[in-house]
Amino acid sequence: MIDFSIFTDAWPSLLSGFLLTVEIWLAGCALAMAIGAPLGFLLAAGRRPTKALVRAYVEFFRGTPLLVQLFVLYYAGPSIGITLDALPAGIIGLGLYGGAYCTEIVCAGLEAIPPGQIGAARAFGYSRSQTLRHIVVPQMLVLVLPPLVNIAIFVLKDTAILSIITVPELTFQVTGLTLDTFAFVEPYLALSVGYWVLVELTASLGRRAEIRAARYLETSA
Amino acid sequence: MTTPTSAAPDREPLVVVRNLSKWYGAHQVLHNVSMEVNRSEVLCIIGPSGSGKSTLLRCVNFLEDFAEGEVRVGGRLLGYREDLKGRRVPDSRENVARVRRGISMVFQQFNLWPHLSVLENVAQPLVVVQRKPRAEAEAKARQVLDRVGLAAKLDAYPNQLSGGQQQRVGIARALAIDPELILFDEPTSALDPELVGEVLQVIKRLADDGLTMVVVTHEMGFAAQVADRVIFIDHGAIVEQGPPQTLFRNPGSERLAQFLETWVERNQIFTDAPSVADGGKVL
Amino acid sequence: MDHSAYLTGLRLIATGAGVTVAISLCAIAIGFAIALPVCAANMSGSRIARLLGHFYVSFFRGVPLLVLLLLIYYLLPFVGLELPSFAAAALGLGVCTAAYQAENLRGGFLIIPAGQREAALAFSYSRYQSWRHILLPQAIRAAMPMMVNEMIAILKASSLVSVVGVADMTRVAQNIVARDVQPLLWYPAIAFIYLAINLTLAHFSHRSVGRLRRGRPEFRL
Ligand SMILES: Nc1ncnc2c1ncn2[C@@H]1O[C@H](COP(=O)(O)OP(=O)(O)O)[C@@H](O)[C@H]1O
Ligand SMILES: [Mg+2]
Repeated sequence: MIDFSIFTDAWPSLLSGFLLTVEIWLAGCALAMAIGAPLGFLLAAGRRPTKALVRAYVEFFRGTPLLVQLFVLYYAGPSIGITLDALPAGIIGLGLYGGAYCTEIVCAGLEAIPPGQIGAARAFGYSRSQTLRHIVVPQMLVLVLPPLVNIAIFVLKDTAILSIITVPELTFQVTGLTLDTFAFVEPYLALSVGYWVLVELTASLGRRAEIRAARYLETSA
Repeated sequence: MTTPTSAAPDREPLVVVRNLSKWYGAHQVLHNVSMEVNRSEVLCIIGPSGSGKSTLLRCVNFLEDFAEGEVRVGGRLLGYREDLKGRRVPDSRENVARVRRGISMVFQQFNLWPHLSVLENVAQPLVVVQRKPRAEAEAKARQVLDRVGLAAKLDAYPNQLSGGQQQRVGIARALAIDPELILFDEPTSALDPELVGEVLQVIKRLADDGLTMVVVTHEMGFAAQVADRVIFIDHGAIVEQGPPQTLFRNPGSERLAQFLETWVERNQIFTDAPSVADGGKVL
Repeated sequence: MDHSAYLTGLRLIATGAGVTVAISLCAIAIGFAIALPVCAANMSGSRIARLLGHFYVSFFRGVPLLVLLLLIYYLLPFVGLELPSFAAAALGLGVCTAAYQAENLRGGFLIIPAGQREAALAFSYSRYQSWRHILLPQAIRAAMPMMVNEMIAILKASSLVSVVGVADMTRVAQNIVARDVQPLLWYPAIAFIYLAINLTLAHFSHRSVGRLRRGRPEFRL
């Protein structure tokens, strides 16, 4: 029999876990974008050696599991003098991981803009920065928004992995609850549904934003 | 309850369309169309864009359903049957496939299967539908591909061919099943002008071999030369029909006269432009 | 620490790598077997089938894999299914990747032009024949690059099976580090093994993607 009464006593720790999950999520996304926007630009338009470096970063962080990256950062970091608490280690790891994906997305968005448009802007006397600001970025935003929303959702789900390096976010709190009560199915089921609702909410917000962004571009054209 | 075909199979028309009407939603695209296709006949259907030519052709093959009327192939009803109370009900997929088996089709956009080689495109229907042994199917495929001049391209994939070659593969695929009737829906409309000729040549040769064909086309010269009979359709209805000489020389209706005029004007541009017609004589 | 300890460690890691690859392959196979009916449901004419299909995709893409693995791990015995942890974990990964694979397949089907189905119909292919000989081969081909991405994702995600006691490469590394306290050696080492496997996998899809990219002009301001 499924019994959900075990949640009544545990709600303070669940609430704090939930809030921490959201904080980690937002911080991770912000860091990922802060990394991905400039690196994506370099990957699309940088010089050769720069491109190669950025490409290496992208391949490494997309080609290895986040969990292993976190292990390296959190457990091996101290051996080379980087001692981080679990929470900052987790956020930095998440940001570096998501940043690799954002880099690739931003780069693809830039490359998708027809060169003729940039040529046209230059022909009308736009400077490089004006071309970037008025021609490239507005179009690119519409293109990259859907995949970026996807990355935001992946980052949200991946926050759960931080529980393995003892960050007291939602999954960590629920796991603690299961160990206290020896009930496993109910808490994990509820947790699954909780994440699912959060992901669907994000996805539907993202879809609305995508429609808005595309429409804005359409009517202002 | 004897079917008339059993009495004199060669005299009866191969296809009989009677009072066919079709709607897309509230929009009626075919109005009470009746026509026949006789054996060994080449029938060309002409008419403005959107007049319902493709729709009619697709009804003859039952790629489209239709609300009223009937299509008979070799005397047998296609697509619908009468139930015990005499009501018109959709026929089973198997029966449709059985009646349709003698008809094959060549599409405007070729619709070759891109994941199959040229040889496989032609041979696969024989293996999959007719359950022929693979060796026999491939021998047949080689033979028809040779007939359309593509014996050298057996292992190519459709994307590696020119439009004209692709359409010739489409024709070979249609020929391979030994059809009684081939339907062509604007077989050259998707082709670059310089590739139209090679495809029309192939179709003309099939006509000379006595195949029964219905060809929807905008190539009036081809229709005049090859058709036994031409049907002019406008706004979903047959306006007039007859031998090409009669129709093209003395159109019986204002609408056909107008339609032919636009075509003559277009053609005039070409005959007046020596650089095109005579391969750059002017320069 | 002497050489033989490193050798033992390496041998353990190799075994773990085998488990990682094996569980990923199982998961992909299970996932494909589930993805076919889910994709069929999503594209079927029946509203109820579509609803169920959408629910499946939405739920299994909405729950963090770690949480899903924990849930399935505890749910199976709860409903009377005692599976070894390898099988339970492969199943968990499989139901998750099925949701993504189903969507990839659906994408593959959707880009097939209507004329393809029509040509099959005109040549009297039955519904099954046209599906089997014309549509599915093209859909799988179109979905192939996405499927390779999915394999890479699952290979990385398989690192999470360590939490339910499967001795995959990540778990083996953890065990070794617990004894010899050399995280800086072992964690980067397995990271590079994951990377090597993934780059090999990506090589196949990159070849086709590379061909697409080659035609595309470079981004220049
Ligand atoms: N799938 C469809 N849905 C709605 N209307 C259609 C569809 N296909 C064709 N039509 C309409 O039916 C009419 C006849 O089309 P078609 O037979 O393709 O003309 P043609 O081949 O003579 O150019 C046109 O008005 C067209 O817009
Ligand atoms: Mg047409």
